[in-house]
Amino acid sequence: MTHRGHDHHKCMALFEKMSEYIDRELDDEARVQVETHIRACCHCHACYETLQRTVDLCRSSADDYPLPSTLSEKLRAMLEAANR
Amino acid sequence: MTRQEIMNGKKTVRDEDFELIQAINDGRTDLFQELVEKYQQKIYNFGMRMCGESRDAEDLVQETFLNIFRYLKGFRYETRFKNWMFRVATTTCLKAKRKPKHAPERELSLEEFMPGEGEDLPDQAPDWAQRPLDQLLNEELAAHIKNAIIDLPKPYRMVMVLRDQEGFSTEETAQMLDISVSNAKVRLHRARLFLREKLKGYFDHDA
Repeated sequence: MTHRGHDHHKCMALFEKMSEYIDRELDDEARVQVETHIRACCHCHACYETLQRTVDLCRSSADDYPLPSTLSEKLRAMLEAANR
Repeated sequence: MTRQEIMNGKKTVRDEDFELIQAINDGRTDLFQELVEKYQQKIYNFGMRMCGESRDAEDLVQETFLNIFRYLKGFRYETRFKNWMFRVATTTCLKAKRKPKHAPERELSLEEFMPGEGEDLPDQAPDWAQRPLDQLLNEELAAHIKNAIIDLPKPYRMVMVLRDQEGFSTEETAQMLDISVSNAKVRLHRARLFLREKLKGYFDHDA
């Protein structure tokens, strides 16, 4: 990401770590580096917010699917056959 | 409640299913139905998230429970039963010949999601990334997200489903898929970037 005050490589290095940052999987030093950069770079901050929102939406859309009414019966019959 | 013990020099995970599984393995095979009833919804959800079609998801549930029934005696309590069950489900899913219509098997490269040097970039997040989640997520968007996940190549889809939808940790996901933790992280990041592009497209189209 190119913009005044930051070089492309620094932003790209952050881009690669962004999921680990969201998942709190970075060590303290790397986390502070990312936070410092995000505060200073509006483009990376925007990038972070869209990715964080993507993760939130993905997690929130994971509802239960309605079970087909015949599934339990099929499973019961299959296991009875396997048990014989 | 899950706790770990060392039994005969080996790590043993005592979770909520420990006694039930011991009973089944000691000959009470009639109790297997309890496991099925407890977990069929979870495996069906996983099947729908991976296949997108009810028929394929039903097949996955049946094949998974049949494999669990066959191989339960080999379960060594080294992980929670639920994790082992998902390992069986992911293996069953990976071996399935069926392929969803819109899932090309290809590698996702980081470069395809990276902005190029000199590219004009937004200096603030779009409206959809800032609005409260409950105002944003509706049935149409949820369906769009599900379809976008189905469009992911299978290895990426599987990591995203296990991590962001089933709620497993990176380590657990890596273990289930027999891949390294760093590989699981790479796949997850690219899957999320893929989904983000799909969401951008959805909201840009909507705007």
